[in-house]
Amino acid sequence: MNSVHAYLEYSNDNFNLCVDIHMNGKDSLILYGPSGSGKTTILKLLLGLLHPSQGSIRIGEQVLLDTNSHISQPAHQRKIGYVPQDYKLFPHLSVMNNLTYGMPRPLTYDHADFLNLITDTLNITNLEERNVLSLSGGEMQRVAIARALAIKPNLLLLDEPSSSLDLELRMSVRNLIKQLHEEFKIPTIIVTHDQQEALALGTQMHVLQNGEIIESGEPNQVLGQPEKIPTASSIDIENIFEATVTARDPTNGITVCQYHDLNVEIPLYDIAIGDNINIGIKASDIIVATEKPSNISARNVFEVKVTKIYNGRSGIMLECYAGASHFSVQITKSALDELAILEGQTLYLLFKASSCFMLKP
Amino acid sequence: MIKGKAIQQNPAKPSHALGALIIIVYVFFIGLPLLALIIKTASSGSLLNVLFSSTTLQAIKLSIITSLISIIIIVIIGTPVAYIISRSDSKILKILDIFIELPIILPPIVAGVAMLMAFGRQGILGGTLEQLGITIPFTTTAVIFAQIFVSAPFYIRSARISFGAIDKDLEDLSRTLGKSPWHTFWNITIPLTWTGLTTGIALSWARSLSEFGATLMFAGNMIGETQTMPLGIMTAMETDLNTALNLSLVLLMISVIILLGIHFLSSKFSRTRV
Repeated sequence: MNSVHAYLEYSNDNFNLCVDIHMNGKDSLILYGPSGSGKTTILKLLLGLLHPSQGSIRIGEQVLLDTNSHISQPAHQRKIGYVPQDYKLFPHLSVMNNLTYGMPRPLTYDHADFLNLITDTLNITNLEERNVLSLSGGEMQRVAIARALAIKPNLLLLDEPSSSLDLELRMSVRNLIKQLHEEFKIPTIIVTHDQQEALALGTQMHVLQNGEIIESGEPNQVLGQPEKIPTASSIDIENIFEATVTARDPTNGITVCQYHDLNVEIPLYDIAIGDNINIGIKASDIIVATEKPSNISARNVFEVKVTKIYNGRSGIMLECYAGASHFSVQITKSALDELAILEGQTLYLLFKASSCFMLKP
Repeated sequence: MIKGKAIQQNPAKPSHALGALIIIVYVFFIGLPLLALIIKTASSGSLLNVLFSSTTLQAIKLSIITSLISIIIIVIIGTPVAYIISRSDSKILKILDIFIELPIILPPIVAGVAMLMAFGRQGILGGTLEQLGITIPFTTTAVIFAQIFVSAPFYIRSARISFGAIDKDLEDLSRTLGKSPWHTFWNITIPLTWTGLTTGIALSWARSLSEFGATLMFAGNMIGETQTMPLGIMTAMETDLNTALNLSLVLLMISVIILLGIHFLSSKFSRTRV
């Protein structure tokens, strides 16, 4: 499998991009970030549809771009498979002609066999004679992936692969992409702003903001406990607060921080007493109890008052205050009903020290 | 039992009736002169005699050949011009686009005078061309020049709008699939803009066939050399109304045949494209 190395600098109007990407052949790299952060621009630079002011792209031993040596292979010679967000099937061609568009003509037995393998894997053999305009969203998606795979690409780029599909189809598309990655062994870059998609499909992840990679790592690490505030903001970590370090306990691996009137215990970090730090915790990592629990392992138990209850994106959100200290908490609708939580009620919030993480600016 | 459905239908709204009336008036306005031409020509009873007279045959032949050459040149030159303008953000090309469309609003007779001033014996390039032994005014070449000058903008405008309307991402995607810009142009761009291009060809060709003012000024009215059908009609009107009528009907029929032929080709291509 081919490793991929790319360094890209690009400027357009007020937007500047500078990224360094390294993947080994087995990687499925997630580019994660808000709209306008430069995700699709990176794909177009890799494809040769945009031209960087400075940069280099190497796949395996093949140099596709090196601005210092004035090497720039045109888009049609790069052999990079691309599945855009809205598929872009050719509307004037049948499914079969879309699939074979990038293949050499006439088709050899080898090519026909390879095409059969792809269409079987993607379960689109029955669609071959259909007009693309008659396909459903999920079918278009699979045809677009098959068309990109048919050129035997050295690198596969997927732009928001399941954003326009319903929830059930998303699951099946994710499974399919995983299966394709394992079967065809092509390094893959996936652009997404869907955390579930990043977790399901990525082996590596870059978080982008304003044309820069602000954090990298494995998706469960980056999305679970990011290191930087911009990353935490971009992945919607609901609770980010400033606190002062009051004690360190290396024996038990604990740091104690003061958040207004509360003493919050977090994992041990290399910081000094008196330092002001930012702490993050996901709303879904906080447990709610209506009575004060005893004999539990959670290091943080706080009495709070619920000031607001509303429907969030992934569940019911509770806004809670303990004096000036604020927490957003996410629970399920059934938990809300069972515990009969009302605005103004007193609750107890519980979370483990290890659920908290320190954020760098 | 189904009941009440038919009764519940809304009565025709006054705006519908007004719309229908306007359409009828317009169709009558366009149709009546054409119908009058057909009736008067038929009643003259001399269609075949006129059709096979040598003057008429020469005018028909000249009109068809010159307009065919003009449209071929217009498509060859106009297609890349329209494509480049549609794909460019250059302000210079945007200004050029307005300039290219200028002949649409320019009175044809002014176009003829302008071409004389450029290519005529007293024109800017006239002296140079004469030294090279090239004479353009009052030749069949001048007929073609006048037709191209006047009718090219109709094709370029239609082609530019068509190229601008297609999804550029499809062209990009074709390139990512290993196809060169040339292959992409022929296999993605042209098929997706086919209807617009053929409409442009039909408009432009029809305009070439009916070209009169610029041709008269720049090419003259010489039988067999520069007398196209519109000029033949004008000449006949001065002496023999029947000949003018018959020539007019023939020109009308040729225009309709071209229009229908292109429409047929366009729809056939659209249907068989998958």
